[in-house]
Amino acid sequence: MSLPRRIIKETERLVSDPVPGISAIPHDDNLRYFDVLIEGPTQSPYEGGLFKLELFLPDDYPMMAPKVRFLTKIYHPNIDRLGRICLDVLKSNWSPALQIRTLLLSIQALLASPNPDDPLANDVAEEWKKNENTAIETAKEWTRKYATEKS
Amino acid sequence: MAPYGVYNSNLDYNTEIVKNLIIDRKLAPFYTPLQDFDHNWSQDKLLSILKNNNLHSEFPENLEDYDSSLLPNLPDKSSKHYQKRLQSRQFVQSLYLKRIQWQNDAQQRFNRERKLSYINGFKKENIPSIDLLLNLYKNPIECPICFLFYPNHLNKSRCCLQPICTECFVQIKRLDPHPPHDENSSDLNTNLQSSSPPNPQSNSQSNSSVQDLISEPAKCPYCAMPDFGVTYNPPNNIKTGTAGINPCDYSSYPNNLSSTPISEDVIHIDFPSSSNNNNNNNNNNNNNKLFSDNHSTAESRSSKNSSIFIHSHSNSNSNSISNSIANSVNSNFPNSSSASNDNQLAPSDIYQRKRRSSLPASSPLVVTTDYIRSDWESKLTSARMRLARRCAAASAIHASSLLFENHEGSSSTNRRRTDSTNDLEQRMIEEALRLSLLEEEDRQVKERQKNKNKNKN
Repeated sequence: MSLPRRIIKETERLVSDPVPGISAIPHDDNLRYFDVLIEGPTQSPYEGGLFKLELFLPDDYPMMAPKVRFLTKIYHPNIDRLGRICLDVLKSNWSPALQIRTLLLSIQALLASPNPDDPLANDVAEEWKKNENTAIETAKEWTRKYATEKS
Repeated sequence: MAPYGVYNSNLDYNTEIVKNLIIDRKLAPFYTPLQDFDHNWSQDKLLSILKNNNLHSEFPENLEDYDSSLLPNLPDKSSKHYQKRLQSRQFVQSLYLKRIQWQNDAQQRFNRERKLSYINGFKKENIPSIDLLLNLYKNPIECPICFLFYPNHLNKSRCCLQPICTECFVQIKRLDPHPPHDENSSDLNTNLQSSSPPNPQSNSQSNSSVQDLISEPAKCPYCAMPDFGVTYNPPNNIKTGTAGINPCDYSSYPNNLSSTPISEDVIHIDFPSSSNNNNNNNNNNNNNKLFSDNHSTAESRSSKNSSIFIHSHSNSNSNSISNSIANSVNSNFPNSSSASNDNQLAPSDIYQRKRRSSLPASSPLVVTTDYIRSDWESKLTSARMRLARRCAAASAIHASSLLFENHEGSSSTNRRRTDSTNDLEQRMIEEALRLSLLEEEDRQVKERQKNKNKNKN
């Protein structure tokens, strides 16, 4: 099936003008499926980590949001054990004027500022609220353990 | 009058309404987009691309969904439900194939006429003149959603004046009915406090939560303003005063592609003379489906020291055209002395007012997403009904399973308890009946309303 022009152009622009700290490379056999790498933002518990994600553009993209999931284990109140992400722009606040680029930037921003008040991983969020320091330590530890091996 | 085919999904908007909006010039036409554009292109290059542009995007012939070889042909033993589904699929498939065929036919016809027109020099009604093509496409803008290039007269969002092509606009719609987000999160929070696993679909979903299902109007994709709507400033239209060309877009491009020299004296031409001398008049009432730019009648006329382009709908009567000429000749065409770097259009008052303020969604100039999909309300009610039924069923199952548990717990068969089970079942059935009756009533009311409306019309 032919790929919409928009996806082709977005991919070209992602390659020619990449976002610092983020890379997204489409699969050769399925150009709607991207391997994404996001660097943990500086001064966050995820600093130094390199997180792998998968991103899929559904048929009705850009009218529907891309599907994104963390593949690297991460300790974060808005990301659950399966890597699913709780982020408004992935759901109801998606807008076709957003792009893969802006979406990945939002995810990076989510890493920089976790939001335990709108949790997806309840245990993590609870810990984050009760005992923020311990939670941050755990996040750092997970980052060391899971997000630094491969790079 | 059909979209180019950027999106594969079904066209679920009201095509009749959209068609009329385009005819009434409240919505930009479905222009045939350019895949690419470079401002350094020469006029010839642009023309050669335009001349070879297809009316519609090519169909993916072997879409999996529509591939006949994938449809099994044996459904003798299979369930009725399955047969029905299969039949509908076959129907959709044949529709799809037919559409491909029609579109190909139209394209071939168009190609033939185009060849006659451009190569052999015949005048063909549906073939745009070269002047029209160049004038429409000389400074195309990229639709920020589909990334295709369109003539510089696109719809603008009513709130933040961002461009959007009609093809993208008709794709924007309400989300499916859903529970309000806030409630969801408070739900999770209560779960959190009681430290039980999150279970939003817990058994306690009452009727009130059914009524809470909401369907919000689509938001502006650019500024998230609710009640997304667009306006269209058609070129040379008297209603909005002046053309929909955005002055800032204009000034950022060098005017090197302008097709005809625009003289310093922009002359007021009275309409009859211009139409009489007009050779390129594309009057395309006949074949609306053929050419996606068909709404625009190109009338271009060059004289020694004057030139004017009028794109007006073929249905507009000559009166309004002549009026719009009188109004727009002054404002719309920059004269070449000022056209060099900052070819600002002489803005009319109306245009300036429009640029500064956003329009309310209720304004008659605005086309909202709900307007082209008037069925959202019925969708919401039916979704509520469905949820209500599901709730009833779920609580029935839940209750009966509780009872069964009780039964097993007390191995002796207690007469009173069986009674209560029967009682409960009876009540469940009654409740289900009540709900379906309600639904039926609702449907009838709606039908009556519809009939009433019809009678009114």
